[in-house]
Amino acid sequence: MSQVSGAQKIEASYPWPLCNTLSAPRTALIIIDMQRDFCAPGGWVDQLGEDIANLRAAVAPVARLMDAARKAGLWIVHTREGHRPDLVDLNPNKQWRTRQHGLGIGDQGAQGRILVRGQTGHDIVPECAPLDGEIIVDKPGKGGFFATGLERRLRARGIENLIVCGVTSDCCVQSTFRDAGELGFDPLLVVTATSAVDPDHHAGMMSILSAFGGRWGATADLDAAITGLKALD
Amino acid sequence: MQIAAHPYPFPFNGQPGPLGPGLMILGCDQAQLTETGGAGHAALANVERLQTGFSTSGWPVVFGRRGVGDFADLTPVVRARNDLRTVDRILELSDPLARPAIRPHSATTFCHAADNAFIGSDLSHILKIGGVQVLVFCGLVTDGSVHATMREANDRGFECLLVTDASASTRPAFHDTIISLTAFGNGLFGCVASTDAVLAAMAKVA
Repeated sequence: MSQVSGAQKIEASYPWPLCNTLSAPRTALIIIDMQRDFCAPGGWVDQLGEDIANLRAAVAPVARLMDAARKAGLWIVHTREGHRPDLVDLNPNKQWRTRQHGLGIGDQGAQGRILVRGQTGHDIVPECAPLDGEIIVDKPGKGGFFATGLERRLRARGIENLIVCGVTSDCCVQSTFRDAGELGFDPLLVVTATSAVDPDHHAGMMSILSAFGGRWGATADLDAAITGLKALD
Repeated sequence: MQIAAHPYPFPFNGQPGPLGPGLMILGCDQAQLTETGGAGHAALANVERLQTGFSTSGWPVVFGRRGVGDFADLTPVVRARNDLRTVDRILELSDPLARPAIRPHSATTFCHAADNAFIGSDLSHILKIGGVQVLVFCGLVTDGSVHATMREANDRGFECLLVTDASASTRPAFHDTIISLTAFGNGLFGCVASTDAVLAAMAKVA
């Protein structure tokens, strides 16, 4: 158990966490959607003919952040976007719009059915694999709190502060980050441990999230986050 | 109904819903109007046009006022972050700056403390009772309440459209980013269209 100094914070857009000091029992790392379908060769985004280089670039930073968080004793949560095999939780307009690409959610792809639970493409890339004791939250939407037990499980454990990373920065990451802040958690987005398909969307979203003091939470780079977490080892 | 929208004719299945699509007006208070400047004024003029059109068609209009009864209603960290905000601050509803900058006509008004207007409000209940399946979004600020509420609505299965010239941000670049990523990937968060395109489609249905 480490000694927590009165001023223990992570250097971020505001000294984080804002209303208390950094401590492992109150803090969780949430890793969003590091799934083969998004950031591995042969996954859904790759099969659609999109360039996955930008999404793949998040893998190494996320793995480093996970390592630091595990050493610091944080609770670790992984999310996966996807659907039940019978697709009862798939909005009709979501299925329709993804099918217009030629390969929609639920359709058979090279690594199984796209974004369907239990299929290879839906699962987390090996570099970011969960360990025993860590939890996986499967979500049907973009926000990690929509139609999931995530909020309940965080509150049950007395988690107040969330470190957020993963993909994609302009979609599921920002949605989960913003809702976390509005639900009364203090989220910290590690901007260099997240990325998007389109770098302009990534940069634009980071500007929105960090503007005006950080309307929904704090932002920091990976080195600052790891430095802060090392103090909890 | 078919609105000439991007990236596809809206709504996806041509069905506006049993009682018509809903117009979701967000923000539009005095503070936001001041902070969005000329872009905000122009957007509000189009919000008024949309509101008139929807009311005339007898379609649902919902008007969201962001604010709290008392700052004690904000959790400590939300309140502390709000105190840091130089712009786009959550206000107490009694604050003159929180007064609507447009008249809500016959809209159903609801209040919400979060930019995601579904959080802690009766919005989802109102929409369910109204049989709303399709939502047309407008108001202030694009990157704040408008986007957050539209994203949640999209997660909940609503078919969503953002009216590009009936919404505005405090920073034009933020507005442009939201429009671009809304339509990305065949409509990641929904479609986008102009006020003229929406009203033209409504004229055909009438």
